Amino acid sequence: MKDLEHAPFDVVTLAVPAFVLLIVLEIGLGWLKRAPVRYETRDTATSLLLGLGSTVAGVLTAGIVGGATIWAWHHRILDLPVAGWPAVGTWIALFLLEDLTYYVFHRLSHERRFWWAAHVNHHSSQHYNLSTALRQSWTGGVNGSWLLWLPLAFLGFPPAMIFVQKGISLIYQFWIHTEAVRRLPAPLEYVLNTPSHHRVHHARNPRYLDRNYGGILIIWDRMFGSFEAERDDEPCRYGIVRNLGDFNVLRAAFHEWWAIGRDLLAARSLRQAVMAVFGPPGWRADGQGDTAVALRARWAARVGADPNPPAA
Amino acid sequence: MVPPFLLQLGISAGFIVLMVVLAAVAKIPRATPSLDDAALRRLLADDFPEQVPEQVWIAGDGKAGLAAAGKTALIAFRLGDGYVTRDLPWSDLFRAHRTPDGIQLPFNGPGGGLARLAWPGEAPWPPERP
Repeated sequence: MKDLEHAPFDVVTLAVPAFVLLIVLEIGLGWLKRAPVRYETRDTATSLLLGLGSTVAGVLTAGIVGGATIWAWHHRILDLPVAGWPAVGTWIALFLLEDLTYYVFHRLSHERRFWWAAHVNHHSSQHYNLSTALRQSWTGGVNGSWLLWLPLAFLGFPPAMIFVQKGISLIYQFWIHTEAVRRLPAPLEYVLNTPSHHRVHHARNPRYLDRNYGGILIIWDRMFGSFEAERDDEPCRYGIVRNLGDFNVLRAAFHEWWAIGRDLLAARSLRQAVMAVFGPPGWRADGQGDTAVALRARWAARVGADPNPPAA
Repeated sequence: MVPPFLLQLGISAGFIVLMVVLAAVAKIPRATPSLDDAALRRLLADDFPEQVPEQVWIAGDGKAGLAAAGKTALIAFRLGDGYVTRDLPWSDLFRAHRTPDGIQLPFNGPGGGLARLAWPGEAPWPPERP
């Protein structure tokens, strides 16, 4: 029983040497001019320090997250097979449901400010390389987004399996943060989240804003209308709508929380206060805000494009 | 005996130093040409597409630029190997400081930043508009 509550190892920790080696390899490819790789020293330092800080923050909230997941599993509605061949089916179901959960979490993290405030630091670099992948949240544990994974435990997936699958997803998403890989064969591009799809996700071009939320699979974006393909005639411009003015790690980690606090103090009604916290990022009371939807609509009106084209 | 987590943290910090040093030694930032009128207008058009600059000024070292769009000032300044843009009321330009090298304009909001414009000492600030 205890084996199913606690993973015997942390898959992400085991992958850290591979992260380091791949970053060294990517820098080497850029240095040898074998791939369009760009690293800026201070940007790299900020990204890596955010990664280090997120591991500390993760330890501080791990007890609550782990305890809640175990509690949920003790109240499960199904006893899923976890041994022998039948366990393969459990793993496949978990892979799909965890990836769908990630999609929901990621979409929420972009479309509602309370969760965006924790996630924005992952997007605040103007670069897109493997160090950007390690630019992880410091406040993701305190905004409750981990609650989204509890239904998996209630359903009957053991906590150890859930944490292993979450780790596998995080490890998968590391390697796609690169410009060194152009595109994968078409069938893979159709099903998987790839460097090309994720470059779009990190871009701030209006066409690309709030697109491609998938973790391992891109099929959720195709199903739920949030997919956008990378275009050769529109290179990605990375970062956030209003980029940060320095490389300060604390600013990168907390600037949106600061902005929420400022907007709360300026709110003149309960509705404004609620929208300052839970509205879409960029929302303004006068309706002139730079939300992703508004930016895309204004861009589409300027260039005569469809702001929400059908998924390819 | 060092607790395992602290040991792991220390090793991670060591690898961070290694990777940052490698990134510095490799010298592979983006090419960032100095701004000229056209480059500044392109940059501002990306970030403020609804604003139409009537006039632009480029800092002496090409690392920053200013544009006037109605009552709004648009500023682009270099950060690392990229540029950061800000918009502000034209009247806010008066809060900039003169330094021996030119003009410094701090942005104190959550996004932060400090625009440094190489600006001749004899040239008026804010620049005069027609």
